[in-house]
Amino acid sequence: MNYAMAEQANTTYTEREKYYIFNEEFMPHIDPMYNFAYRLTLDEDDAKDLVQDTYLKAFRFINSFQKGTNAKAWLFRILKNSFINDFRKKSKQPAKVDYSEVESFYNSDEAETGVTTTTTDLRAEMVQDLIGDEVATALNSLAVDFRIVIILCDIEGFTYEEMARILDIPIGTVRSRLHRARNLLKEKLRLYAKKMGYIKEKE
Amino acid sequence: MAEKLPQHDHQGKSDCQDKCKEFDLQKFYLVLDGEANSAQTQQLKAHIADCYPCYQHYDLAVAIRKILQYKITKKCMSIKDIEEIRARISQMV
Repeated sequence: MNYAMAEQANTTYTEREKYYIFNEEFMPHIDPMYNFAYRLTLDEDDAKDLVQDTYLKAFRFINSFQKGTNAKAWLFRILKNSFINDFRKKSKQPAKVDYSEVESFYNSDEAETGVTTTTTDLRAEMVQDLIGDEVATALNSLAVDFRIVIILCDIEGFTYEEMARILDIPIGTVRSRLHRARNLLKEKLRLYAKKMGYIKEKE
Repeated sequence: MAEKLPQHDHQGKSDCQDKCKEFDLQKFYLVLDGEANSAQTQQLKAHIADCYPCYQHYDLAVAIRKILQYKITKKCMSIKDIEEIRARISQMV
């Protein structure tokens, strides 16, 4: 439970305060939390269990929540840790590709082919024509660590600093991971656009 | 990292694609994500007003963010499941 203990000195709330914080500060984030859980697990029942588990933990460790700080980021951090530490171990699905592996692979790939700058035939207009399912499929196909940064930044609008705290990584790593995640997503979207005939094969 | 951006030497609109010295996707993202300071933001805005390839890169980044925000279905938890959480919390005293 180091996500709880890593915080500053605990406050001792009264029972009444606990329920107040839980209802007023935690519960309003339930939809983004569920959405996040769904994007991680890609299964509605698993997402439900993960959110429930997270809220129970949040209540149990409520004394380590500092009133007036960002409750949404605090909750997202617990959810993400639950997913990584408990949920993925429990679930029978084969482990996802290890992030560092992907990253080093991608680095070498990037170095060789210059992926960062070669995706130039994809245009904003083509992207706008994609339908939601295609976008979701592209996002879901990314390794979970890349998916997470895109969800946190682009969908939930967390700042880099908040993301660094949620993920327990330095801000520099947030930036570089986000950059790689976006390049990978762009490449997936480009493949869709190509399949749909927006992008002509070069002869 | 230099605050002062170098003069860009291209005039045309097509031949400098990806050769633009100002092209720095990570810097674009800083602006897009609201993490750039106002000088960086102004520089980028001024630059993309002049440089079509860079404008396209930025425009694409904006478009991708928009589809992520608006086109992916937002999943919501059922009232029943929310009530279940509340019920379990109230038993936790």
